[in-house]
Amino acid sequence: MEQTLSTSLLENKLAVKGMFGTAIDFYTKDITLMGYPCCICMLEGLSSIERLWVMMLEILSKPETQPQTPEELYDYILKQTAIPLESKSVVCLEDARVQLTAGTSVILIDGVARGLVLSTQSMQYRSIQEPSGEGNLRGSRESFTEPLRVNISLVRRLIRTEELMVETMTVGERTQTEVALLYNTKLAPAAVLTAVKRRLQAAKLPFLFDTGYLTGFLQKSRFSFFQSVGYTERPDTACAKICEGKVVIMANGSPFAMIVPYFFSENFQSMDDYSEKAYFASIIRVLKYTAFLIAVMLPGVFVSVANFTPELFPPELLYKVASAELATPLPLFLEALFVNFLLEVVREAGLRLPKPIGHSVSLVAALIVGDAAVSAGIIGTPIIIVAALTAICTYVVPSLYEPITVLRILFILAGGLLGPLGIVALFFWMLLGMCGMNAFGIPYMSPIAPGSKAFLQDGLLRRSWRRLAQANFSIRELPGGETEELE
Amino acid sequence: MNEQATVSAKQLCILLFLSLCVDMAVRSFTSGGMPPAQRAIPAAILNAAATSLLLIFPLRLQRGGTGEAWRGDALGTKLLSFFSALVLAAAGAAAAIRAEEFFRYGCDEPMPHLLVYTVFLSAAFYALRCGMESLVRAVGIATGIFLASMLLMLLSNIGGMRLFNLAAEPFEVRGILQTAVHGFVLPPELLLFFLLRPYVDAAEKTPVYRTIAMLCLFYIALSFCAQAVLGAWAEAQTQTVHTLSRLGSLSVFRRLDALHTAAWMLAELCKLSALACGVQSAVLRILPKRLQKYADRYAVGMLALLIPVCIGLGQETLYCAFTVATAALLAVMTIYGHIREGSYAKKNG
Repeated sequence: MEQTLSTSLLENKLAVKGMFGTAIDFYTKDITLMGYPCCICMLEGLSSIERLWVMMLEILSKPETQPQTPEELYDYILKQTAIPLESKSVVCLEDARVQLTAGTSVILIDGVARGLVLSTQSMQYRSIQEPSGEGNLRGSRESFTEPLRVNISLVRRLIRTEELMVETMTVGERTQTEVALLYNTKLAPAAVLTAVKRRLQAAKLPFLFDTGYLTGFLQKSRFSFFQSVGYTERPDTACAKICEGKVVIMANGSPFAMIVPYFFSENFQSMDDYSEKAYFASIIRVLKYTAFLIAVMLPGVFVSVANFTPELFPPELLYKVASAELATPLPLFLEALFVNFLLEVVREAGLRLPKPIGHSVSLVAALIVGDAAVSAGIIGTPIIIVAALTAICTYVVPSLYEPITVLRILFILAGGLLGPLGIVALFFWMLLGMCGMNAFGIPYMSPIAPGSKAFLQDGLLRRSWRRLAQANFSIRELPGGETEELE
Repeated sequence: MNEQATVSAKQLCILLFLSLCVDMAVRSFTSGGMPPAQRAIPAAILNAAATSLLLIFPLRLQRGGTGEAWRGDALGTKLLSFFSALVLAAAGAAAAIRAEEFFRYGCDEPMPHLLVYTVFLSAAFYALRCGMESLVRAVGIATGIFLASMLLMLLSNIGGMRLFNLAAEPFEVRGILQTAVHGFVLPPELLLFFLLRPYVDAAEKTPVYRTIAMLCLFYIALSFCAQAVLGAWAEAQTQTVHTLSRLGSLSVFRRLDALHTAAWMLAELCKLSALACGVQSAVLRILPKRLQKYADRYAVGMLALLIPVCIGLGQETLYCAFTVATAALLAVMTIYGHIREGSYAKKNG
C-alpha cells in the first residue's frame, strides 16, 4: 500500500530519507519560507541546486502577501508565483520517488500533506550526435540520445501536427523505466495500436535498459530467424515511419527507437533513398537485395557446386579451385565453416574490445588468416575470397546481420551435405519461414509476398516523388489484417 | 501458427498455375518428347477447352448455387474425401518420384534415393506446419523465380532459334486430334480448386479459366521455343525443356541450366507441398476431432507410403489413373453437390 504524506514535516522528511537511505546524492535542506518551516529535497546530478535557488529566492525574498497558514503558503507558491512548478503535486512517497528520480525538486511544507514539485532538472547526458550506424549522405545528422524526453522532443520538432500522439507507460519491475509510444492518430491502425499496448502492458520484465528487451513480447512466440520489429537511431527515420502509420516505441535510456510493425523490405531502405534520384535509389535497392542473397547463399552454393557439380565452374576457375583444394588439408566444406567461424570470432572480438585493441585484432586476423594461413597451405585462397565477399555483402544490410550469419552457416551445411538439393530445400524452408511471419496482422514479406503494387513503388524499386506523393502510402494499404494474430 | 488463414483466390490460382506448369518443364521420363509445335499448339488449345468444359459444372455449382452444397466442404462425404486424399497423395508421390528422377538426371553425383525423398517430404511437412497462408505466399515468390527462369531460357535460346524449323507442314486434323487425345490429362491438382476453396473468401471469384488459359499460353510458348531451336529433334528428347536450358547461353554464361534446374526444383517442392496441403485438407474431413491436430503427419505419412507403391506402378499407368480418378471425383462431386442443393432447396421451400 502506498504511504501518503502526513502534515508533519519531520515525519515526511524521515520517510523520504528512509527511502533513499544514506545515498550521497540525496540532498535535503531545511529552510523557512515566509515564516513556515519547509524542506527541499532533490537528487544531486539530476537536479541543479543553483537553478533551484535562482528560481526560489528571487520570488520568495520579496513576498507580496503574507500567508496566514501553511496551506495558504502552498497555494500561494502554486498559484500566485512565477516559479516553474510541475502541475502534479506529490501526495505519497511513491510520487516523491518518481519526481525526485526524474530530476525535479520537492518542497515539503510543515502542516501540508502534499509536496510541491519544482522543475529543476539538470541531468548530464550524451549530447545529440551523428548516428553511429545509420550514416547518410544527405538529410539530418541527428541521432537519438538516452533521455526519453529529449528523444520525444526530437520527434516533435519534425512532426508538428496535432496528429502526433505520445503515450507513456512504465515497464520494468525494478527499474520502472518510462516507455513512450509515438504514433499518428489518423494513420496508425487501431488494431495494431491496441495489440502493441496490450503486449507492452503484459511484458513482465525485471528491468529494461533497451527497447530490444521488448522484442520478444511484441512478436508472436513462433520461432523465426527474422524479426518483425525494427530499430532506428535517427529521428527522421522514426518520423517517416510514424507518417506511414507505424508505431514507434522509445524507452528511457536507449538511443534506439523501435518500429512496429516492420517488414522485410524495410531492411533494404534508407533515408538517402528518398533524397537521391529515383533511378539511383532503385539501383541501390536491387544491389542490396543481391548483396543479401550473396551474403546468405554464396558460401553454401560455392561449396555445393565445388563438391557436387564442379562442371558448372568455367574450366579456368575449376582448375584454380581444384589446385587450391589439393594443397590444403581440410575439405572445402570444413574450410568454409572454419573461415566463417573465424570471421565471426574476429568481428565479435573487434566489437567488444576497446577501439585501439580492436584494430589490433583486425590486423592480427588479417595477417594470420589472410596471409599466413594461405601461405602455409592451411586454407585455400578461393574460400577466403568467397568469405571476404560474403562479409562485405553482409555489411550492406546491417540490420539483417543476425539472420544472415546463421542462415549462411546453415546454407554451407546444406550445400556441403546435400549439395544443390540441400540449397534448394533450405531456400524453400527459408521462404516458408519468412512468408509465414505476420507483423501485427500484416504479412512480414509484404509487399513482396503477397505481392502488391507497393513493391514496385517503394519496395524493390523507388518511384519518383511525384508518384510517391500521389500514392500517399500508409500501412493500411497493405494486404493482410489477420485478426487472429492481433488478439 | 495462423489457423485462420486468409488466402486470396488469385494466390490459390497461382499455386495451381505453378503446380501444373512445372509439369511442362520437368516432364515424366516415359512421356516422350514434345510433339511438333504445329500439332502440339492446337492440341493444347483443344485440351484446355476440354478441361474448361469439364470444370464448368462443378464450378457453376460452386459459384451459382446457394453455397450450401459446398460450404466449407466441397467433398461432402468422408468416402469422397478419402478418395480425394488418396488421389492427391498419389499425385504427390508421383511428383516426388519424377522430381527425384529429374534431379538424378541433371546432377552428375546422384544422391541416395532415400535421402532425396526425405528432403522432399520434410520440406512438405514444414510447409504444412507453416500453414496454407505461408505456402501460398512462398509459392508467389517461387512462381516469380520460375517464370524468370523461363524467360531467361527463352532469351538464352534466341540465338539458337532457326526459322526453317518453323516451316509449316500440311495441316492434319487427325494428327492434331491424336496428339490431343494422347496428351490429355486431368491432373489431380484440379481438385485443389475445390479442396482449398474454404481458405478463400467465399465472395471472391476464382479465376480458374484464366489460369487454364495462362497454362495453355505457357505451353504454347514452350512448344514454339522447342520447335524453333530443336526442330524435329524435339520429339526425340526425354526432357525437351531441360535440353533447351542446356543449349541456351548468354554471352559468357554457358551453364545456365544449373540455375534453371534450381528454379524448377523449387517449383517441384512447391507443387509437392501444395498436394500435401490438399491431402491434409481432405484428411481433416475424415479424422475424428481428437486426431485432427496430427493431420499434417498423416498427410505426409500417406505421401511417404505411396512413393514405393507409385514407383512400382510406373509413370504412364499412374497418369492414366490420375485422369480417370480426377474425372470420376469431379463427376461424383458435381452429382453430390446437385443432390445437396436440391435437398437444401426442398428443405427451405
